[in-house]
Amino acid sequence: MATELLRLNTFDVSWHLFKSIAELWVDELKRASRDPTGVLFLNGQEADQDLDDEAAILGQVVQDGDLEPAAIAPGTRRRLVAVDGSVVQLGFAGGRPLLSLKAAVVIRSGSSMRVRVVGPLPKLASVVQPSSTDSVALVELRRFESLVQKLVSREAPESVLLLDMPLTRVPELPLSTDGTSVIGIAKNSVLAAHLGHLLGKAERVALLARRAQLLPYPGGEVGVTVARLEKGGIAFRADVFPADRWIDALSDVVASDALISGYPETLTVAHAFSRHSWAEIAAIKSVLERRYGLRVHEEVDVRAAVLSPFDGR
Amino acid sequence: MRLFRKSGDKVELLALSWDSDLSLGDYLVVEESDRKILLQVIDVEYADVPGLMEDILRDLSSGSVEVTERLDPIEIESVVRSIRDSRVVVAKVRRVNGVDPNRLWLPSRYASRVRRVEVSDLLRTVIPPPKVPVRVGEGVVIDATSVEGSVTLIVGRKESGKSHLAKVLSSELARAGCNVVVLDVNGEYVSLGRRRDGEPSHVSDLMTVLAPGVNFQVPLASMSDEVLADVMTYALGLPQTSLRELLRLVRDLRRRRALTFPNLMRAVQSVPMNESVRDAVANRLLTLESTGIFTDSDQEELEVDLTSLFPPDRGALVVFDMSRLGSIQRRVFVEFLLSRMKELLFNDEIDPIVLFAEEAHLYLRETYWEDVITRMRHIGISTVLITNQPDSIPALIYRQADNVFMFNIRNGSDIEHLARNLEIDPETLRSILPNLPPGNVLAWGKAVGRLPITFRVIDPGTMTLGTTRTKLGRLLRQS
Repeated sequence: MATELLRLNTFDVSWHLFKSIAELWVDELKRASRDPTGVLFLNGQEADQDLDDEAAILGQVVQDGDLEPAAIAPGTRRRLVAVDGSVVQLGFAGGRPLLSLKAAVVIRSGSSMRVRVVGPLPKLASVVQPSSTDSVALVELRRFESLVQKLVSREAPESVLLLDMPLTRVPELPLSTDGTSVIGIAKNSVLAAHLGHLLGKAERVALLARRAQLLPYPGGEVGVTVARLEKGGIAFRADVFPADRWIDALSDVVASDALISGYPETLTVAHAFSRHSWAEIAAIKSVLERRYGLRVHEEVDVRAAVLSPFDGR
Repeated sequence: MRLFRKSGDKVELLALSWDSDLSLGDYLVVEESDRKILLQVIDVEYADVPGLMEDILRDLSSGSVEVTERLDPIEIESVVRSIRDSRVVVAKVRRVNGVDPNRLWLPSRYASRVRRVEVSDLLRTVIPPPKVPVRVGEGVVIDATSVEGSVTLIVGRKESGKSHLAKVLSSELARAGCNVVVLDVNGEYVSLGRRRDGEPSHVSDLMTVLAPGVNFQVPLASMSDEVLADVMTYALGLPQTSLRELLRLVRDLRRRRALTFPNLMRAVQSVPMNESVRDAVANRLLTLESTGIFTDSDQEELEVDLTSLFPPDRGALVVFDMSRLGSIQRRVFVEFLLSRMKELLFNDEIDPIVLFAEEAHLYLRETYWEDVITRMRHIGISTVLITNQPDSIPALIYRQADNVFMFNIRNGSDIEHLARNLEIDPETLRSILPNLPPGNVLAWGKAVGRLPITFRVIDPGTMTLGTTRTKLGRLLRQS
C-alpha cells in the first residue's frame, strides 16, 4: 500500500534541492520583472487555511451513524516531527501572484526540540486560477508544505509526523513503509464542533468519524477522527494515517508530547517558527528589489486616499 | 539611513544596523539638490519595528528550542536581522545651508540623501584655514590664534584626559610661537621636555621649569611697590591702613638701598604706629619671608629675570612647578607672578602670554575671575582654565568663554551647571558628556567654528607624570 516517494537521507540533500528550487523560482521572477508593468507589492496578508469539504464528511458520518468513543491511553514514546507552513502574497509580477513561502520542521525527541526553518522563499504562483474554494496562495502553500513533508518523512523512521491540516487536504501524503504515522490536526473544524459532544467528559478520548480513501494512492485510507487528547482540552479533528492504527498513533502523541489545551506543543512550535514576521516580509521585498533588481510599485491604499479622514474604520 | 521624523531642532533617522555604526557626536549631512542640513548624532535607539514584541516573546518562550538549520537560499536572514535590529538615530540640527532663512524647508524623506561627515572635513568648511595651525586631535587642526587672546576652559572628571589636552595645547602653542606659562599644581607638566623614551621632546628647547623657593627666588628689593601691595592685599589679606604703613617703610628703606626683611622688620617694630597695625604688618612680613620665595640674599643663580624667559623671536614654555608649595605659599606665589607679569606687559617688556591654570580655584583670589574676563585679555594674558570641578568656575566665565573643551562628566549637577551657562543645548551635553571615552573631548567655541565637535586628543608622546601615586602601585610594578 505504502509508496516510497523520495530517497533523501540527509538534510544536506534537502538543502541542495531547495536551493535549486529557489533558484528556479527566482529566475522566473527575474523574467517576470522585465515585464513593463514591473512588480506591484501589496501590504502582505497571510493566507489562512480555508475550511475544507467538512460539511460533506459530516453528512456521510451522520448517515453512517456509528460513532463509538474510545479511550486514549498514553502509548509508546516516539519521535515527533511537526511540519507547518505559511504563505504571504507579496504582490503581482508579470500578471501573476508573487508569493513568499516559509515552513518550519520541528523534531522532538523526549524533551529536546530542534527546529529547521525553510525560507522565506519568493515564488511566482504557477497556478493562476484558484480552485473553487482555495485561493492561489493557499494552493501554492499546500504544494510547498507537501514538498517539505516529503523531504522530512524519510528522515524520521518510526516517528509520528504531525501536520497542521486535515490529511484529506494534503495533495501528496508522504507515505512510507518504515513505521511512520502521519496525523493531520485541524484547529478549525466543523466536524469537531458537531461531534465533540459525543466524546463525553472522559479524560482522553477519540472517536473514528469515518475512513476516507486517499485518492492518489489506491488502497490507502485515512482515519478521520475527533479527539480530545487531554482532560479539559479542546476536541480537534485529527486525521490519522494509516487508518487502522489511529488509536495507537494518537496514544503515542499523548505519551510523547506536551499538550497545550489538548494541542501538541511540537505543532505549536512549528506554527510559531513558520509564520512570516513583518521584518521578513520587509526583508524579502528589499532583497527582491535591491539584489534581483525587480522594479517595484507599492500598493496604494485607495480607501485611505479617497476616504481619509472620514473613513472611520 | 533615511530621515524619519523632526520635532523642533531634533531629527530622527531610521538606519539599519549595518549603516548605523555611528558614535555620539558624529556629524551627518542631509542633502537634497543644493540644500543641506547639518545634523549631530546625540543618541541611538531601537526602532519600533511592527511585530517585534511578538518575535522576541516567541524567542523567549521557546528558549530551550534551538533552530539548528535554516534553509535560506536567497540569504535574507541577514537582512531580516538588520531590520529587526534597525535603529533610530537621534540628532540635533546644527546648520541649514542653501535655504532662504525666511522660508520653512524640510528635506524629503525619500529623495534626500544622508551621509556621514568626518570632523576634519567639517572643520574645513566651518572655519577659515588656520593661520597658525595646531593639531590637537585626530583629524582636528585648530588655529592657535583662536586660543591666544581668548578665554579657554578645559573641564572633565579625574583621569578623563584634561591634562593630556592641556599638555598638547601648551606645547603646540609654544611651538607656534606663543609665550606659555603653566601653573603646575601637581608637577605633571615638568616632564613635557622629555619623550617617553627619555629623549628630548619637541618642546625641550623652548621649555623652562622653575620651582618657586627652589630654583626660583625673588629678591625683596626687586619687587615694586605695586607687586608687593598686590601680594600683601590679595594673597595675605593685609588691610589698606596697614598696607599704607608698610609701603611707607618700604619706600624709605628702598630710598636708602637697605630694603631687606630684617631691616623692614626692625622698622616695623621701632616706628611709632598703631599696635594692631604693627602686629598685622609684622605677621604678614613673617609669612612672606617664610614662604622661601622672597629673599634678601644676592644669590644670583636663583634670581630669574622673567623677561629673559620670553624671548621675542620664538615661543616659550615656562612651567612653574608648585607641587611642593603649601596653600599659602601657592597663593602668594601666584599673586606675585600675575602682578609681576601684568607689570611687564604694561611696560611692553614681554609679549602677551597664554596662562594655563589648573584647579585655579585653589589659588586664585575671588576678584581675579572678573579680571580674567574684563582686563586680562587687554593686558595680554589669555587664560586656559583646567578643572575637574566645573562648578568651581563662576557662571560669568562660562558665558564669556571663547572655547570650552569638555571631557567625560557623569555628575548630573556638573552637567546641569554647564548646560545652564553654555550655548550648547542641554540634551546634547546630557547625552554626550557621560559617554565620552577617556581621551575624547567635546569641543565648542571659536576654535571649532562654534559647533560642538567630538574628537580624540592626540597623544603628546611625552613622559607621563601626575598619575595617582599609590604604594600598592609601586609594589605591583616591582613584582
